[in-house]
Amino acid sequence: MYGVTLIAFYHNATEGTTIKPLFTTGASLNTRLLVTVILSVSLLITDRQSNLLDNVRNVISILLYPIERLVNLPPQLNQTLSDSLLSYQDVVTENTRLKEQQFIAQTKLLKLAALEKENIRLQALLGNSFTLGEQLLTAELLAVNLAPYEHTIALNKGSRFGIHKNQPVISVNGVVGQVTRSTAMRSEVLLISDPSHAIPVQINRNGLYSIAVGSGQINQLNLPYLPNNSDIRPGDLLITSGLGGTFPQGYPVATVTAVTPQPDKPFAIITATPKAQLDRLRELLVVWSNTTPIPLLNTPEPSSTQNNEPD
Amino acid sequence: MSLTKRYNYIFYMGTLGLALILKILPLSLSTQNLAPDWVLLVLIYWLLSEPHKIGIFNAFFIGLLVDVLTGRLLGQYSLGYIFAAYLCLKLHNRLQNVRLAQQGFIIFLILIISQSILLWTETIQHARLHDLNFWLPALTGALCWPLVKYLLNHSQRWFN
Repeated sequence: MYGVTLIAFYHNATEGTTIKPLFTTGASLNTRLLVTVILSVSLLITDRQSNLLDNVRNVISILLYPIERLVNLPPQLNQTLSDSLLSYQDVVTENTRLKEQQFIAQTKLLKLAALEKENIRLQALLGNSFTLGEQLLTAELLAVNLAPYEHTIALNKGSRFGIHKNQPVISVNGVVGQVTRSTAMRSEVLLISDPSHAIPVQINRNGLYSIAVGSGQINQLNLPYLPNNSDIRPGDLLITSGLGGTFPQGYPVATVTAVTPQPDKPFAIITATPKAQLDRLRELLVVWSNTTPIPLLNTPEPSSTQNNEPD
Repeated sequence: MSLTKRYNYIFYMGTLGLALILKILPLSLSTQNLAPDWVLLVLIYWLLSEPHKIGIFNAFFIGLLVDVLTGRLLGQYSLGYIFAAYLCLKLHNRLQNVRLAQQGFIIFLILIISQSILLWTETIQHARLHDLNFWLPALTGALCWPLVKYLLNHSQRWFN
């Protein structure tokens, strides 16, 4: 009889419908909540305002590195498999195509050296001074989904390769975004299509400056700061203007798709499609730029050799 | 006759690791919002199943892991998870003794609260418009809760 009740009690306990109290003192739960809430909030504030916690983040991200690699494994395997299982004929065809592309690109580059030198001479005539040269580092997209409400991607190279915050990231087709955070093994990149990202652009045709803000849709940027009678039309190429210092000048950003003047509002509705295929990224380039950043504010000095903002 | 210990630390870490993997699994753009927060669901399962071993501090540390994994500020998910853990432990007896549907509903409310805390910490940082899709993970999480509970219960018995 006693054995049966004992087994019944054990059975109840293992089922979870235990009758013993959860905590001997209820206040213990509340104090734990209070302590962890204070800890969380102080972590939040510290992480937002300073970079004291970057080491903590680095350590934790190294712990989580196997998980990221594991998630990235299937697409990577798929890619390696499809790369290594090509027929000989396919490889030959692709090889000839790439050689031809390379040949044409190198021929186009022949003039680049001369154009660069001419550009420096002309800028010097105007009283500006800047140095040229950008270095690129290739990185691959980590196939992970960080946050569904944010347009961020992760790269498989981090601060070990010298990648730091606010570095521009481009693909072969155009600008992709900028690095928001880099831990030891990976970097997080905010795409230009994210609503909280704004990139200073210039219309390639006439040099008009504006800002392209992400719309929240992966293939659309908005230009909300151009007045109704601006000289912009669908089909215009937008390039980075270099203002603000983050993105070097001259990289293609987007193509204008629609210009709708709003008679009752001061600015027109202008949309553009990013040149880079933001939903189909694979290989990306992180840019180190040596260009002297063009300051945003006009410094009223007559003998200034810095770039003045043209109006 | 010794009690078979239901709690197995390796199994706990394994389920958490699996949940972390599922959390950052890439999904197509259209189905991204549908995925529930697996880490929170697994955490709630463990809180209900082993309330004396897994508590608020565990929820805090798991929240930190998720923060670093998804690239948030340290403390965003932690704050949400510790409130979810507090509610689970406070309502532990009630949650264990009701039918699955009512349990699912209470867990739905807990998930909504955790999502709201995430929303609060997100809007403090960026002025970003979150549409209704932001709340979908709470709904799908509550719907997936019976699945999580059933799977973890049975695999635990198999594991032991």
